Parts: sequence; structure tokens; C-alpha cells
Amino acid sequence: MKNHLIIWGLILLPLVLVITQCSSSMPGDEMRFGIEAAKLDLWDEAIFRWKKVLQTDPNSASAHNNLAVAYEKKALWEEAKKEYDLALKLKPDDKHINANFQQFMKRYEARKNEIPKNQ
Amino acid sequence: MRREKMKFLKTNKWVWLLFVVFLCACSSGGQYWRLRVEMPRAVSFELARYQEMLVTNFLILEKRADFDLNKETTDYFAFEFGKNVQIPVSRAEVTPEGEDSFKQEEFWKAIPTDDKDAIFFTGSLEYKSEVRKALVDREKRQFEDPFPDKTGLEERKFFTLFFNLYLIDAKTGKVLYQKDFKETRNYQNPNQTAYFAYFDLIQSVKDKLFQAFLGEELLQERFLIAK
Repeated sequence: MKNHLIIWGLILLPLVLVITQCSSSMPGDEMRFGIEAAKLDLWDEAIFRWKKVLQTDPNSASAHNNLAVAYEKKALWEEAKKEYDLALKLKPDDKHINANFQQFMKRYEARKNEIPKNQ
Repeated sequence: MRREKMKFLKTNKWVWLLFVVFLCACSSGGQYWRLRVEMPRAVSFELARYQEMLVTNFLILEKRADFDLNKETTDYFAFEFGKNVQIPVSRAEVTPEGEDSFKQEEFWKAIPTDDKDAIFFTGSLEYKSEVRKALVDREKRQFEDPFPDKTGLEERKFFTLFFNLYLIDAKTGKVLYQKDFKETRNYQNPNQTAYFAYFDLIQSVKDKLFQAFLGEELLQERFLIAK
């Protein structure tokens, strides 16, 4: 009897976890959908998806990182910088966010040096 | 009791395995995608804010006898801009009187532009050519050199184009963008003409200029993170 209870427990526990995961996996789906859109060069769609992720989870460093990449692609420099800053504040040691940020900053600084002289 | 437990563990090993696999899947770390993205290069000057571009005559600092530097340059840029920018491009028969003209706002404001929000594309030009000779020996050079590793007198033709570019607002007469270019090329062919070399040099200027104005894209790598 006791063994049966344990077996049922082991079967039910994953089920419960799956169900709870499903209810909280909506942001995960949006995140992946955004990535798929970005792969197809549909950056506006990707931005929409990642913004939705941030509505439910404002502390998602990944969503901030992905949004920053999308803003970079759309040449929205200040927005991209803001999103990278937020992502790094949330996950300062993430190597992928740091790699993106370093590449971005090279271009951002070069642009900053160029524009005040001319406009 | 212990035996019973062991028996239970053995008989239900598949349930345990599934459970472990499931936990591993649940706790798997963040996934990322490496993406090669064509990132827009920063645009130094937004031409689209203007209704028209007027290409003026250029101030030629040293006239050449072999070809008309001003005509070739105005024709070249009027054609290239007309082909590549979205605003209309036309010629303005205005010639800067000296280097100071570019900063004289009244000079540019006095030019009629049909009340359009126009921009002047102007500047000064200097084109020089020289022959450089060198006695070379068999010593292996450690640095890049236009002369080869062989003995004897070698000769190269060098051409240099100095192009000081100004973009001037037609309404205010103010300089909005200024950049100096210096392009040099050498040719082994002693009969290379200045006219032919000029087009190599002006094309280098154009490539750099268009990068700044049109913000060409640059292939870069970025990570997108799923978790």
C-alpha cells in the first residue's frame, strides 16, 4: 500500500510540475517565438514578443538582452543601450549578454564620437 | 524492511529513471542562439531630412592642364548621389571663391533655392601626381613597400587627391558636416594617366562618404537567449 502511494506520488509529481510549468511557460513560448521571428528577420514581431515577456516578467535578463539586440538591428541606439544596461544589471556575469554588450559598445562609442562633430 | 525497500527500488527502476530525466529537463540551463545579424552602421549625417541636394562647383586649389578636375568631380558626385540617395540631386552653378567661403553664411544664404529645404554639397580639391624613384637591392624588406625586392632603379607614379568636403544648409548657410579626405595610390605603369588614377581615388572617397551617409550594414554576431 505504502509502495503504491510512492509510485503514484512519483507519477503525479511530474504531472503536477508539467501542469504548473505550462501555466508559467507562456513567457517561455513568447521568448522562443520572438527568437524564431528574429531568425526570419522579422524584428518587429520579435520586439512585440519580447515586450510581452517583460510584461509578465520584468526581471527577465534574457528578454532585455534580446530586445537590446532587436533595437540595435533597428538602429535605435539609446533604446538598445538602455536594454543592455538593464540586462547586465540583472545578470552581470552572463557571458552572452556581456559579449553582445561589448560588440554594441564599440559601435555606440564610435557613433558618439562622430555625431557631435557634425550635427 | 531494508530488503523490501531494495526490492521496491529494483522493480520500479524505470519510474525512477523517468523521474531523473524529467528533473534534468526541468533544471536545464539557459539556452542561447548565436545569430549573424546585419547591423546598421551609424549614420553620421541624415540626408533624408532635406528636400534637395545641390552639388556646387568645387574650389580647385591647383588647376591641372590635363583634365578639368571640377567638372569631373561635380559630374561624378551628381550622378552617384542621384543614384543612391532618395532626395533629388541637382547642380548649382556656384563656385566658392576661397577657403573662407565655406564658413561665410551670407554667401550660401544668398543663393536662391526655390524655398526648398536644400543642402549644398561643396568643397575644395587638390590633385597631385609625382614620380618616385628608388635604388633597390636584394635585402629582404621587413615592411610593406611599393618597390620589389630586386636590384636596380625602380620608378613608381604616385597620385594623391585631397578633398575637403562641406555640407552646408541652404537656409542658414551653416556648415553641417565637414570631412577631409586624402587618398593616395601608386602605379607601376610609368604611363599611367592622372585622369585614369583620379577615378580610382574618387571612388575611394565615395565609398567612405556613402558609408557615413547611407549607413551601410555590417555583419555582426549576437546571442539571443531563450531562458
